[in-house]
Amino acid sequence: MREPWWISLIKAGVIVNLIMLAFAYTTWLERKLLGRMQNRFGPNRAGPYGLLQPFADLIKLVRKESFFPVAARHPLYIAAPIISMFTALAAFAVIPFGAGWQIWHYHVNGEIANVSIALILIFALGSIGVYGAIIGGWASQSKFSLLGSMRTCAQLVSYEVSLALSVLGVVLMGQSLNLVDIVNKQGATIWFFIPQLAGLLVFFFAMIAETSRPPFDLPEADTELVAGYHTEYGGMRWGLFQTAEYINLITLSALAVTLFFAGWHGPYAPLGPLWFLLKVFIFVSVFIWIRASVPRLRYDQLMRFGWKILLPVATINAVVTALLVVWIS
Amino acid sequence: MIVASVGNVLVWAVWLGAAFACLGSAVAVVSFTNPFYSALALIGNLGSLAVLYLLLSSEFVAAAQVLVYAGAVMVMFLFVIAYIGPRTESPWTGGPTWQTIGAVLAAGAILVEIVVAIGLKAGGSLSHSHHVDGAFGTPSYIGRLFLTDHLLAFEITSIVLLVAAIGGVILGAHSRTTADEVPSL
Amino acid sequence: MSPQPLDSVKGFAVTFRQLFKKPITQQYPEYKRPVYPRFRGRHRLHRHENGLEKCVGCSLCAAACPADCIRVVAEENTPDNRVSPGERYARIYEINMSRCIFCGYCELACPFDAITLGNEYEISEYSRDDLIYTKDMLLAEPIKKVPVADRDLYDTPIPYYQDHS
Repeated sequence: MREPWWISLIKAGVIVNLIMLAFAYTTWLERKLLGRMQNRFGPNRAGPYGLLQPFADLIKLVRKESFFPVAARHPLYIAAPIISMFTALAAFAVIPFGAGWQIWHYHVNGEIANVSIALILIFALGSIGVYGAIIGGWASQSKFSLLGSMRTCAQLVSYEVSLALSVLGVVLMGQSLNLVDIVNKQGATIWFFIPQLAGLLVFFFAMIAETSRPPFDLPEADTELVAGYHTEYGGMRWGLFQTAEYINLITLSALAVTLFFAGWHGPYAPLGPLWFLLKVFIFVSVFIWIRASVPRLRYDQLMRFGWKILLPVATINAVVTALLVVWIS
Repeated sequence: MIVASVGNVLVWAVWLGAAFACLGSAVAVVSFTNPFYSALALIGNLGSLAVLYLLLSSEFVAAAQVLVYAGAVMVMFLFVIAYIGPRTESPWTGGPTWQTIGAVLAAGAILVEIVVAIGLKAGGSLSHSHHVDGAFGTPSYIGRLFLTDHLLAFEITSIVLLVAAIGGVILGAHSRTTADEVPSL
Repeated sequence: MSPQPLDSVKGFAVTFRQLFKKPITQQYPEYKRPVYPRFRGRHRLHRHENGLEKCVGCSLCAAACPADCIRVVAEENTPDNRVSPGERYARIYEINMSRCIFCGYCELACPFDAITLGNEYEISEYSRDDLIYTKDMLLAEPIKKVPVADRDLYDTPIPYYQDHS
């Protein structure tokens, strides 16, 4: 369904701000849940239940002195967090969050952009996002940053392969790369996490690694390795990297919900976006739960897991799904 | 028809921007002395090519271009360059003469091709016989072409890539003498 | 992968169960946990019962201090300006609290038990200059009191200076 370009523009603005808000409260939720899982309170000073904590953090980060290493390559050093942030935010544009509404006499779609290559677009943006890490690490002109960015880059590139292969089954069953089509197909037939359980599991693990969350948080292994590609970053520049990481987490959670749990579909159709939000919330909470429960992997374990377990499983899943789809139809 | 003309102006603006970005980044690739900047310029080149593909309404090719070349291949380039370190290459100081001759010949051939294409276009000999339909450039359209009209080329390419991958694994595996060096998972 | 897959899952159950337990955190500014009676906090200088200062300005505390945070400048007592019972008194007695490591050596070194370490630990300031405590501050009763646990619960000897003076 066509809609005027200015509606898309307004929607994009609203969604970007909503994502930023969601990011802010994801950090709050993470600290709160982690705290409670470790018998602590978590943030509870700024506002009731610490609800103003994200804003306090923002003010603190923005007001911090933005220093940089003398040897840093300036334009690239400053561009790196912006690249990360841009790709993280842009990827959300193609994720459908509702069925579409008739507001006054305009039709409003349930997604910002309905493109036929939505899935590839998300992966393409994700692969561009790697440059944020690699350029940031290189432009800092520091050995710690450089090695950290190598580590990050190797991990992200390795797991991107599994991530892309794991959704192949969904693409074959949905017979489209368009996320709107995939969601509608699931609404009409069956939620894809049942036939694509292996795909979901591979996607889930690869997603943890892609967003560099524990137990795959080798890019920023706070407790044992120096902070990684953003060692030399401080203030809001570091904050942008961190924001990009959390927004990637939200986006990939939303993508998982879209691909495997029928997006905005739920028992009562007009509540579409709420179902979508609820599912994403559950996904994010599970990520936090994993962070509270599992210790970090060693780097060689990480690589082995990615290449020797996830990749074969994803490949076999894709081949079997292809055969079954052909056989059934 | 105002909207349509605004759209046309926009297409022209984007095309101009992408085309000049393409040329500029291509010049930048060969003129930077720091290989890291050269690689970054190459990424810019691939990105602007993707925009040109988008203007030709082949979304899939554009996305694949970004995903495969700008996203995966160039990461490897940057990876290696960053590992090798800050050594900068000196600008080209003359190589074997056959390379020079080959480069000049290739450049001349491309120039002739461009001139011929522009001439044919101006003469009206290159007009499209049929209009591009809506499905053009969509993943299913390209997939169908790959598995029908261009099946042989597609399969040969995939076999060549497979051989290259196996070769890479064999070359890489040679350096490790014993298999049990790495602790098990 | 993991040698005991079931045990890994058990770990998730453990973390999940904690969600419904009451946190054991003590909310500090509202609730101040009583310190042990022998907790070494902010210093105090003491006076004799007749009002004279115990400190005689011998600088032994400054000599004993491993962090070099005590500064003593002594002056002779005169009949019309008698500050301490001894021959001399401390005209200047300063402790730089930003250097002090609260080891208590000054307390041990003092021959007259003039300086002791109290229990107060809330000594943060906004400026480093405010952390240099002068003699008047050290002689006065500390403003920020902290709760101290019941002395009888612990094996706390009665300090010598409280017994004999």
